Amino acid sequence: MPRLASLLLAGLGLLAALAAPAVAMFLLWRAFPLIGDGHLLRLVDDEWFPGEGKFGLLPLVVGTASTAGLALLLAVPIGLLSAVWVRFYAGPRRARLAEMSLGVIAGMPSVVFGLFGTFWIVPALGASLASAALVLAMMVVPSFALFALAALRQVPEGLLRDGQALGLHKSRVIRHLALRTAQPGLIGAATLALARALGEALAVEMVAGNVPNFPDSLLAPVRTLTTTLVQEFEYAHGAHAGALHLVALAVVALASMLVTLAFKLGHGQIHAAPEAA
Amino acid sequence: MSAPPLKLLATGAAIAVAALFSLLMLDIAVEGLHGLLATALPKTTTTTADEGGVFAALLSTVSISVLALLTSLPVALGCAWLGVETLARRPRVGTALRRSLDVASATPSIAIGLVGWTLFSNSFGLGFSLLAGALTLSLMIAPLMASAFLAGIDALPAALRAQSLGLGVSRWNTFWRLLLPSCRPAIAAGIVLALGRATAETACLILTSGISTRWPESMGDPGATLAVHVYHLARNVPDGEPRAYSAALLLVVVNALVQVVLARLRLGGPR
Repeated sequence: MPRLASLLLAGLGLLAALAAPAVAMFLLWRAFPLIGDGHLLRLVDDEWFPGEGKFGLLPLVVGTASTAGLALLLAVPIGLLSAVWVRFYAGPRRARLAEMSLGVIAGMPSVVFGLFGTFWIVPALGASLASAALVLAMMVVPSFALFALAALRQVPEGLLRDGQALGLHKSRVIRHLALRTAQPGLIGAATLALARALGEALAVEMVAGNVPNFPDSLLAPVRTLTTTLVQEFEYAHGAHAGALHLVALAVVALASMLVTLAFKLGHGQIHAAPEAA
Repeated sequence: MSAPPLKLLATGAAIAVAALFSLLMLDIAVEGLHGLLATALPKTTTTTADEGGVFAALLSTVSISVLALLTSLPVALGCAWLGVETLARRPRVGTALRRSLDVASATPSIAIGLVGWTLFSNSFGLGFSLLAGALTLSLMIAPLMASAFLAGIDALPAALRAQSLGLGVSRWNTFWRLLLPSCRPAIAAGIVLALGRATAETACLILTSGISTRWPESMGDPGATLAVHVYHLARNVPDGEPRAYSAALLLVVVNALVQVVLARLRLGGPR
């Protein structure tokens, strides 16, 4: 009887089913050298100098929030307008081509965007907050546009035709009927884009300048939570290693909250991963 | 004064996006070909380690991806089995499982990389190695694959399973002989999706399989994948630009092929 085999299979399956909580628990456990020592308060500080035992997370949090937030501010209007074009103005053939291209670009390795940023954006803007935001915006636009398009496609055709039958101009139908109806899905899409921007490490590390302080202008260098991990994982010990695991835990917690929120908001309009990366 | 018409704005945005990404692709294509030609010319006498760079990276990419897929596949199938069975008996557990997979698929890879570094590279003593990289990667792609498999099974008519069980077919045979074959395109799409992630991934591999450009002799050796190689050349190697671009060109071609296969599978699948 395949009873044993089915138990074995279920056991293997648990590895994937519990991957998310296991990762979070592991990071929490490894953060203990820091938390256990009563150093937790040291995290709420504005200096990150691990060499001197200073683990203030504030500059890193500000770096992450400013780069990801600015990227979203750029990506959402452009991505949304592009999705509107594909859905309502492009015509079937161009729409298919556009969707296919967006899919390919959305699945492209993030390091390609980092490379482009290194040799096209950094020479103009320096290794800075602005460069990081631009690279992130480029990275999330395709997948955001695809999610937005999926949400727009869910708007019932009949509703749009009703609007036109009432004599509304096409742009009014789009603004007042389509966008309004698709709103939950669109907000969900933006939330997923934010989660993706927060979690990106290398493309940002290549262009952000990586100085852990508070950026006072768009052209100032920034350091984010994720890029700190790239730069310091190899030589971190003791409390420093604990701090890094806590940073990773923070990123994981933020991303999973946003993703859960996105699925709640975009109920029925957002599906997991229509893009590949 | 009125705002510019929506049609103009939308078309403008679409053109801007198309232009930007065309520039990106053109840049990679031109600079990449240029870099490939320049490094292939015999007059450039670089060290063997650097010379083998791209091909060593290609080998590392293939080894890590294949091993990660092989380890993820049974886990993902097991998770699909678990999902089908728990959802049939306890819908709430089944929903929680799917939610957990969604969250795992969206976990920032750098965090998974740190787990892999601490667990596989240090605690298990694997150091920077292809094996540590592949294991870490499968931690990332197994949930993704499982999620795709489950989505495929969920899209089948709900009565299918019940009818099979009603005919006296065991749950085991229903799963392997009926459910899985019925959603073959979704299974294939899940595997290709995972492969796309594996070839595109950098953050979790830079922490586990390292940035070495030497030819890997075994799974215990470190080795940069193409994506990591691009990062390393662009970021850390002086005058690495031409070689970064040539590696990026290969990477983009490999990845675009995977994406096209994926798109065809999705279009061909039952929707």
